[in-house]
Amino acid sequence: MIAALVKKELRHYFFSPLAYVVISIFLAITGWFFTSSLFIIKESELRGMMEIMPLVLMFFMPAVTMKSLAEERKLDTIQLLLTMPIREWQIVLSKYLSAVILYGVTLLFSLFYPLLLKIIGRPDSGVIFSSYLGLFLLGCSYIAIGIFASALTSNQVIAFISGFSIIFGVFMLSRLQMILPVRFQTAIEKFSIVSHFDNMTRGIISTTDIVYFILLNILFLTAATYLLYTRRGR
Amino acid sequence: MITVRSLKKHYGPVRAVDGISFEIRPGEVVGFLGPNGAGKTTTMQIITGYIEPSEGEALVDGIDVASQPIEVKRKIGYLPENTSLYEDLTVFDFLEFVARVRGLNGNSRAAIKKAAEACGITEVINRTIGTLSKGYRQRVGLAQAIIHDPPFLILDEPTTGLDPIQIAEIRDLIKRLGREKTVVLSTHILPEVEQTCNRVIVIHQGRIVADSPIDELRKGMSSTIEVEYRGQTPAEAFSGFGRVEVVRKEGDLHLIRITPEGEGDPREEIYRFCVENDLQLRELHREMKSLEAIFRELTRGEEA
Repeated sequence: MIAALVKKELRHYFFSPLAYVVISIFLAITGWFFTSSLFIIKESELRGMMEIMPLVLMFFMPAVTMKSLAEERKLDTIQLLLTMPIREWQIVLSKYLSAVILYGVTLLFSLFYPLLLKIIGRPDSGVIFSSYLGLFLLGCSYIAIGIFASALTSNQVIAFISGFSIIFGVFMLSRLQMILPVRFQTAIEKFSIVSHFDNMTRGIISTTDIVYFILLNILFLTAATYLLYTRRGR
Repeated sequence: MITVRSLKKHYGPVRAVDGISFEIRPGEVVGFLGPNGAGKTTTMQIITGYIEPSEGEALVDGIDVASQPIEVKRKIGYLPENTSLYEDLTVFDFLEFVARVRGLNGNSRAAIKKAAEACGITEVINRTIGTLSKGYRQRVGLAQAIIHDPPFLILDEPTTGLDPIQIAEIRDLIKRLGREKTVVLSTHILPEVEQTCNRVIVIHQGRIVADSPIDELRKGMSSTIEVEYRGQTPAEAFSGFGRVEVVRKEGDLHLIRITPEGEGDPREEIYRFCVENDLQLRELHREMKSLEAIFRELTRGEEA
């Protein structure tokens, strides 16, 4: 049942230019930061690319997910879905999974960069692995937020802007640290998406970070399900 | 069996449905008739489990929609108003998607074939839905609704926006489906109910103003006979046939309207009466009061 829903979503992505635009632009941007750190700093590591990723994905993920629920509501196909024997959470989950699959495919293509590092230098494989895991979890969290934003409205532009704003807010928590008193700093750090991601780009895989990302995903997907449930027929 | 008990739905101060109760027996083809905004769509959306009522309950086959929506949704095929479909899928992919989501895994191909044949969309099965005409889309919507062979079909304005030929086709299709399924359809077009349904529920301002078999509804309303004749005999001479009303009189040319008492059809007697009295009969015809007029009568009181 969810497989059928996911298949439909993937069809929307891959039978339209969307998936290809996302993959190629993503590779172009990451390629730029990868090569500039490789040739300018002359270090065989992904640090330069990883630093910019939270910002790059901030634009990509709301763009990929803005259509997901907003369009169903706009075209009223949500009525079709919700009069079939499926639950709201199954719809939200299928939207999420399909965007995660698209993102996963994109990441697979970008593995070209670390593979290149392997060939020309001796990078730390552990750091690369944990960075990619972090990148994946970060992207998934942005997708969950994007889907939540898409559940707020039937207007894709509003979905994009609200998704972007929420992600920006979560992102800015780490910047807030600098201006706050010390006792708030540790608390903020616990909630900042960037600090958890930074840990992973440094090669640290801790349960806390992973649990943080999972909880963040569950939180926004649950909120999206709730919105879908309460806003039927409006 | 669909049972609806004192259903109410409020949107803020607006009472979209205001205490509707009815029972639909298996095999009936029931038309919800009412002007736009009467509460037909809301009632249907409650039965299909899409929205929850503010008060009251709806049961499908004895199952409460509010407590077991998934069970109810399995039994219902639903064509939403405006037939929203996924424009970028082909007809086949769309039907396959619906079949899979509805849990027809192994035999989905056979189900798609059967539904496509029943709705006459086999020749467009590989076309993208976005490129189809309104008539074909409507049929794709119907195919989607019957793909799991549900005992109940709920069709919200199935013929809106179609041309007369398409309307006739969709009506035939609904009639055929109505032979084995319980069908509820909504419309604001009266002839539709007359042609496809065997029972009509007239909804107006969120309430039921009439609920009866079509024939009975019409039987309760009398017909009139219009007679136009030339002659010196005054209109009152016809009073033996019923209540007489003079519509127009120009010299010796009379146009009168007779409302006969009871069920009889006195046209032949009126003709003979005219011949016997040497009146030149120019026109003689009976006007069945249309559902249109009945509908106007039923809804007028509410607005006053």
